[in-house]
Amino acid sequence: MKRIDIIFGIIGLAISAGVFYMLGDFPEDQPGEVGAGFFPNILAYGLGVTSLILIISSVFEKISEEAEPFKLTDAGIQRAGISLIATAIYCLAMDMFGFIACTMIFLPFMMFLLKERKYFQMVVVSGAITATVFLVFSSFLNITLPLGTIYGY
Amino acid sequence: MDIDLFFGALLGILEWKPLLMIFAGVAGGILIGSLPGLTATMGVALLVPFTFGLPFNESIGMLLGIFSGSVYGGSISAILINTPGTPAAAATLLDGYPLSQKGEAGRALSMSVFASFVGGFTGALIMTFLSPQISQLALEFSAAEYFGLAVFGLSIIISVSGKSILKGIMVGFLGLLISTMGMDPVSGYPRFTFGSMNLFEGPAFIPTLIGLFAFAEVFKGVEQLTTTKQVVSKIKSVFPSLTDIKRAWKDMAKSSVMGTFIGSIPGAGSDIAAFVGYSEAKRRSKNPEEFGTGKIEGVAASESANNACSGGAMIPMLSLGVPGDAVTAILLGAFVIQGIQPGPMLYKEDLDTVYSVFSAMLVANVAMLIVGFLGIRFFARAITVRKSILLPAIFVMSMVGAYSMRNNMFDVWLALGFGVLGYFLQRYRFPVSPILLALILGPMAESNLRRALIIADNSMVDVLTRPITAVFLILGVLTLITSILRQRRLK
Repeated sequence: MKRIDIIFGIIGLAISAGVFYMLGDFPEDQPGEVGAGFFPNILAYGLGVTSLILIISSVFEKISEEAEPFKLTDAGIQRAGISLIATAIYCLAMDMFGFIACTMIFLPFMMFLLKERKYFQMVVVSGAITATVFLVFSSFLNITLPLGTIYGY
Repeated sequence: MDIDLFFGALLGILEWKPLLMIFAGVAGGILIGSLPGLTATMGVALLVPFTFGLPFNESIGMLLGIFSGSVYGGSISAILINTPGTPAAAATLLDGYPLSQKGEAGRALSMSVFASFVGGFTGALIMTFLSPQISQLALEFSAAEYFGLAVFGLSIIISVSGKSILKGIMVGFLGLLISTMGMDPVSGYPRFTFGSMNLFEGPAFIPTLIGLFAFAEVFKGVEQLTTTKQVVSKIKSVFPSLTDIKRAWKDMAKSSVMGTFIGSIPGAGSDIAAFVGYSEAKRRSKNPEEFGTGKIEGVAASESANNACSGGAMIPMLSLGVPGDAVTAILLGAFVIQGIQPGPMLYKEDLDTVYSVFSAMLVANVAMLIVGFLGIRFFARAITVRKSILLPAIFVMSMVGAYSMRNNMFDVWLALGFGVLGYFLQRYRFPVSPILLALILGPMAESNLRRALIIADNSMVDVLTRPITAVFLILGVLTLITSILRQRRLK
């Protein structure tokens, strides 16, 4: 975990520095008033200090826990990456093609990615989930899910 | 208390129509609560229009049924899929999900129903008998005391940090920084919004919650598809065992009283109560290190605290006309539409109505116990569904949950972003719960500290030395020190 903790510490320091930079644009405090930057300022110090301690303690750490390697060649990581990309495409396409069409494609794809090979069951379950979610939200909870601009909605 | 009037009101609630509405409300509430992203607030808000035309007893019965059911419902998805259905169930997942992972989902769910009933019923009883006194005490709280309460709540971050307190504190600071995004509560200045109107109110809480817990969990599940075993839930009985009840009754009793009190403080909701109850159970335990690994007391304490909060939140709403949380704010609106103005005068002029509300709340908790027990086998079966079917379904439900809060795709992207963050944090053993706690308590701490400073002419000493504030702060520091010492001893 040593190397990973150092990376997380650096990210923490970077966020902290970013907050300090943005605080420069905040309006100055009026006399006798605590301004908008007061709390973020304290918190940025807190994040910076804890990040620094994490880096220092990681550098001097003698025994380190076994780190789980993040290898792009790992099948699990690839599956997680593909599912993230598929979800992003699903979200992008939803406005245009609507919830029903997109979900009917997204669900079987995800099931296939997760090694489901009972094709008939995949289609039936996808249809059932899509229909149930759509009906519950639109009829019972009165929430309209995207219907698809391509169909004129 | 006028006992005759109370029993008269109770009989009115026990007529078949109000009773049917209570059961329908509870069932609907459990369904809404168990779906990540659909909160009790949302459930009650959506159903208020349906109750306008109903007689008072039926209307209030249904609304209180949804209220009680949804708070318990949140624990179902927390236990089964590591995603709190409502923010109130965030503490439940800390031990509920590990129990489920051990194949003891039934045990966790049955204890959750029972503890929810104990908490909810206790809260309703305290509300019935002590509401004027408790609201008087809560009324004494000013901004400084609220700040102290928030800081005490934040010290719980240490308790939910797992193996590394440093990582927990670091993530907590990150969460607090995230909570400052959006319009400044005092001056209205937009902070860290990057020019996006969608961030003017800060990152929406529910999509953030869905991202950190649901999406992150699904990504983890997708990655570890072949390395983790499918957990099969064993449900020997839908009722909690006597051993479990004996083991957890003290925590349940304590959490129920604490939850009611916290609920009675306006602004301090069931999510905070659950964490405080959990932390207290952990603090007094002989084996605190076992918390977070699947300890039944953890489920019992958090569930009784968050359900007790419902009764507590009704106290200031009914007796002062000040809602204790978002749901009671909506209920207050529903009361006004029914021609009833909650407040001190209600106790003098319309005691019958007050007792009807008390009765409906008590009956709603009994209904929750019945519906909860009857539904356990059905709910626990969800976990036996193959991961290849379950994970994509959770994906879709979470996305819809994130979308439904504001009918906005931005919230779905936000949830996805937090999902990636949560995934990496979990993967490298950074605790995620401190972010959640910080998002709940951060705004409360900041706005009240600044308000208190304005009142005290910017004298921090004056703010921190107010007696109740000082007690909360000392308790927070003690929690911090004891947690660090305990961790060192374990090492």
